[in-house]
Amino acid sequence: MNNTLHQKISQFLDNDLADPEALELLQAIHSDNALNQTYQHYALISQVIKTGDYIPVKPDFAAQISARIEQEPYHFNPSLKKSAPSRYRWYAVAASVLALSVLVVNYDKQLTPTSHQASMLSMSKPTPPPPTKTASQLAQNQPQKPLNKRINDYLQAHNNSVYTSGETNTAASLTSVTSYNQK
Amino acid sequence: MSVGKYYLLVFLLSVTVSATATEPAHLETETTSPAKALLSKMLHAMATLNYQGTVAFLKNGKLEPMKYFHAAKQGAEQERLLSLNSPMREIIRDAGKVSCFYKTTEQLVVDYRPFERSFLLDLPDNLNELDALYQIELLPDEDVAMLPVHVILIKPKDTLRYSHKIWLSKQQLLPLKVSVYDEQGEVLEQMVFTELHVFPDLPFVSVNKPDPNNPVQQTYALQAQSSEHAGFYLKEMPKGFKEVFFTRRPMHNSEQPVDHLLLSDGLASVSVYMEPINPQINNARNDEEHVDSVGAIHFYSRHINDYELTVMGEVPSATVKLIAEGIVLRAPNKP
Repeated sequence: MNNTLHQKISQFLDNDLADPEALELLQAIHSDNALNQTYQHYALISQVIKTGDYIPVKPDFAAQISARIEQEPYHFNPSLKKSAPSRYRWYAVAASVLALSVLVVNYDKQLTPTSHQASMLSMSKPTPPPPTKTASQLAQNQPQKPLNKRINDYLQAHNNSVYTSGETNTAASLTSVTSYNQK
Repeated sequence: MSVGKYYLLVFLLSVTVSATATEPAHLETETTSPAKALLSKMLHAMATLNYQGTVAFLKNGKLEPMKYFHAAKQGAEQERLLSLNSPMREIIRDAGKVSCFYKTTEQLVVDYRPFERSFLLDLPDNLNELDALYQIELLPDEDVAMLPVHVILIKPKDTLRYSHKIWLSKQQLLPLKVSVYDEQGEVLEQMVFTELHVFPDLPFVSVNKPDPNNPVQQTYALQAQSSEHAGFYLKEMPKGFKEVFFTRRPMHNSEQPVDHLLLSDGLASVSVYMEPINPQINNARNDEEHVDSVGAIHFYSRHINDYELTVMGEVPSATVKLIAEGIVLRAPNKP
């Protein structure tokens, strides 16, 4: 039996052993210390014969290497380097925002809020923004109606703004703000 | 307690009370802000200097450029405005009377307005009246008409009135620009000088005499009366508003008198009118109660019994509506 195993070790070192038999041999060497030492001995002889060099190696050299490897720390979830966002991604985001804003504006234009809704909107407004529109811009956006004589006379009596508005005795303009139903 | 200690205690208490009584005036002088001090100087400059320039009024979306003159001599003042665009007119304010002469029609309108002082800006003499209602702040300096100016913001402490911003020249302390802002901070009205010059003297001018064949066509004569004569009273008013003036006079080229009560909080004014419902004058809008506006002026009408009551003033819509809802008619047989 031993001679057979020794012969197989010699064939393994000469790379003449078939794979199934080589696997059985390695399992036997792993489980049998005496056979392992024989394998180490034959390996040295083969190295000397083939290369002429001799490097003494301790019998537990391989075992020590394995133990060192097992003692190395594990690194779970290795950090992956983030790839920089491409320009095309930003273009895509900008285009999406633009499209969304156009849709919102169009939708808002289609809505005609009631006076109640307008009132609620004005009440829910956050901190007033700084002045951005001039009075003329505001007035141009507001519907104007002719002012009746009674209101014109009241304006005349109220203060002197009628003299500086250029509308005295002329058809002044009236801007409706809010309607309240009579109780 | 001995009699001596009693008198000592009374003496100390009296000293303490007298010191407390004089404290507000003392504090008032010490706590006058730089902004209010500048406004006081501005009012003095407006009343005592002779100056003229070109001013633009922006109201209700319309720009009205005019020539402005202010003459002052021995405590008397005269303001004069000349329109640069149609309708061509000359407006003169003299001691509570405003006369407006229309060049094209040669019509002269005489209007008695004892409660107003300036076409540019009306502020109370005692600026402390505004303390409870407005916050007066000094903002960073700017330039108007190529002149360095102080900028003062008069900001209301509630939502029942508007903000005013005044730009006054550092050199003469005259107002070069005034803006009125609504609750959202948007400009409602503006007055701005494009050029302004001060002179040692300016002449007082007289109103153009109307053609004898075309005499004064309209005169709004005001006879101040007690508001107890009004056909209504206000059961509640927004904080700070007081009755300034009441009169009963005909309007709309009619003999039918209209009650007119003027209220003011020192900066903003509100008028309350009452007259019988007249379908020939009132238009179809009266089937509903409305808050409408002309520039910074809001007005609101409502019917009570057979009367139409209208509240009008340069205040937010909520303020005129609040005042209108506080109107109560007096019983006819009661004063």
